[in-house]
Amino acid sequence: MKSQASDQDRDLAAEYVLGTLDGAERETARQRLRADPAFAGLVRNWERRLAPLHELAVPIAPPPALLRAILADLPQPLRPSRAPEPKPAPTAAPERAPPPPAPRAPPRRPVPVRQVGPRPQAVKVMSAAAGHAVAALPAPVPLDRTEALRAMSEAIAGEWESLLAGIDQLEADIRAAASAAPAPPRSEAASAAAAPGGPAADAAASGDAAKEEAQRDGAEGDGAPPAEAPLRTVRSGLLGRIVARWGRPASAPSSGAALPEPPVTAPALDAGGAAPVPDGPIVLLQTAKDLPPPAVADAAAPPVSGPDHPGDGAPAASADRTPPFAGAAPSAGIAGAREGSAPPDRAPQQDDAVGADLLRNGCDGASAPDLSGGGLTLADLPAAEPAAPGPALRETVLAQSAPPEPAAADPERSAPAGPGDAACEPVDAAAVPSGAEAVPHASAAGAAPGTAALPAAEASAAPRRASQDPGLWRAAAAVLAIVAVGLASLVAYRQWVWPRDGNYVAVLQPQASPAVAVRIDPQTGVLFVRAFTPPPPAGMAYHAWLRPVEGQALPLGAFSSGLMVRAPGLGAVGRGGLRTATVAVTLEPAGGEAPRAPRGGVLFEGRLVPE
Amino acid sequence: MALTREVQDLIAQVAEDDRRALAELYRLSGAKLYGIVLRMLRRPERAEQAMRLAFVRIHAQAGQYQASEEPVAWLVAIARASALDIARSHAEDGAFEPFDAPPAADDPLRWPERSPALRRLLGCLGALSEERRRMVLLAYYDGWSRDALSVYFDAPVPAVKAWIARSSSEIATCLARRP
Repeated sequence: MKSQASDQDRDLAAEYVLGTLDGAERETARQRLRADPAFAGLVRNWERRLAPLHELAVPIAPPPALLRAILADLPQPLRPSRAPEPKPAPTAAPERAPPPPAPRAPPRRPVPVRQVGPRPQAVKVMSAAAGHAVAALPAPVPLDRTEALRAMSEAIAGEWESLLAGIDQLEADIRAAASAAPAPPRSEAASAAAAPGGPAADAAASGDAAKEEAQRDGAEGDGAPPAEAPLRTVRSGLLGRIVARWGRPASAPSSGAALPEPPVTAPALDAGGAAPVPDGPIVLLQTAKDLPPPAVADAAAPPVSGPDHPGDGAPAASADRTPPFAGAAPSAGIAGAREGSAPPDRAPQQDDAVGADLLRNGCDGASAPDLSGGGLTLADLPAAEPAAPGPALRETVLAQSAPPEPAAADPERSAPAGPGDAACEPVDAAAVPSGAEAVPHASAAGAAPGTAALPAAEASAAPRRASQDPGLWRAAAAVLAIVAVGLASLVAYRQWVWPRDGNYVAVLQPQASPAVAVRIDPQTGVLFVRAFTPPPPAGMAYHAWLRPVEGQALPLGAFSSGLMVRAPGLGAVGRGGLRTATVAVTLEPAGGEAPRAPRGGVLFEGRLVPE
Repeated sequence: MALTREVQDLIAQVAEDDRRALAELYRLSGAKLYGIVLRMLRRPERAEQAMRLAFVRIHAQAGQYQASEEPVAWLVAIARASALDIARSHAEDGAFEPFDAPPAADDPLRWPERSPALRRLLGCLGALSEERRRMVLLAYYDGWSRDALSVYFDAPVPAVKAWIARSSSEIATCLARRP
């Protein structure tokens, strides 16, 4: 009969047995079951197919009074007197004789009960059979819409304390994971910073040499000197690549530079330029072009070029030179910290472990007892459960590890950028036009040193002209200064503004699954709320509050499942305020005047972090 | 298996309206059935309700029991159906509720080891995609309704329905394929 049965009937039978029919469908199916033997057969087949699963079910002792109730439920015995008598099976008789103490009962070994809930948010208890933990599901997403939700929010309220404890624990775990993670990246950054130390040190050396020269030159006169000192130091600056072509080889700064030597030959120039330049200027270009400059780049660039403002006297130069250089290490460290936001990359894994662990504790049995027999494994199933929690935890980790870095990195990064560009000022007039081209040139040169050659004639002519006409030189310097300041401000703008452009988010997590996600755009004050929790019970509404460190909670709005509003108060809080504030969700009576202060207890709360 | 035999005999006696046989049947199967039912219903009072309904049905249907059938599976099928009837007749407010479960009890009907039938079924379940397998298991063990599954798996109800239909046909094919 099964072969004749329609697919529809087969599906219906399967769903009936599985239990996924809704109330009305189930009732219909039951009626059909009574009337339609074919359908009953299908159902029987499905019962048989799935029956073996009961072997994995966890037995639980029923309440002692249940048997009495059951017996009372039965219809009055038709033949009360006969009941005890008909015992056709002789083997059964002695066993049934002593029902209560049941010495016959095979002394099965008691199954160890495992508390499946080291973490409070896990479902309280389930038990284990034969070592297979079968836990209740961790009360994941509640059903929906109506009363289920009220029950759910009551449950939430009831368990709030323990949930808080769970969150604390979770946070501790995450923090531990996060603090463990950054270490490697930081050290990488440090070593990376150490690498450029070579070129940077060279540059510093050449800078010192330049200082000496400047002093010497100062004694000699003011014709060549102004050009001479900047030229050398600038070599590693933004336009260093080009300047290097006109100047002397950097390899012989101390001895050769002092002497008015004829322009050096091209090969030598390339040799000289190639060493320091690729690390310096190209990197600087990157700072201007690419938002997140490599840590190494900044570390190397500023120290070299920083101090060489045209106005800076030679004596000051040496003093200036060292600090930025020393600053290189810190800034590298901070860049490291930024790379250290690598913990997000790394932490999630750990965190997944945490989550998996957590869920394993919570949901082991959710999907079923150990199924390692067939194609299934226990690890397979429970790990499958926590679909939602994983990402959520990850977000938490991201949120936790992200905040500090941009702020710390910005000043350091952009500050050196200014002087670095300013260092280009002293380049002579010829450099102005070519300075505009310098960017492409330099980058090309960085890729293939020596290939992007300026016309040799122009290159050699330029310095001479400059030395002949200091006034022109100054004008050029001024023009370049403007250009440099413009560039610097562009860099500063990008560094300061862009990284902070993102919204603020918080993932509020009382449970393993995300509860309420909040996103705030501090610029516009637009607030997005997405609740993954059940809607509030009838007559109630969730209210979101911004809770500053001090002062009164700021009402953000009411919602049931989501919210997108422009909260006027948000603009006044500012980024600094948001960074330290938390967002909390309470349950308030719906309708009427929006409450000025939260009255209900906090259901969810989370700290805001830059996205 | 001796135990199977015994349960069969008890069912036969229950069919004769033997109350003591029913009490004995309850003693043997109560823990298993109650565990199954409680997990599906989550609430002890509903689980009790379901148990009472189940035993009334066992008592009433014992006469239809055929000896070729695995008796425990028969009992379990009745208990599950009763639990589902109870569950679906109430507003669905407990599907995801946490609940306190008493410690696991001694189960007189416990299989000493997994039966070949179970191993085969697990093999077939293992062939399903993970999501659909979970769906089947959640429905079977936890009595999750289609709505609950739809919420949990974040899929529309018709999709859940289709998935279950596909899963069940795959399971049936798989079980039928191998001897």
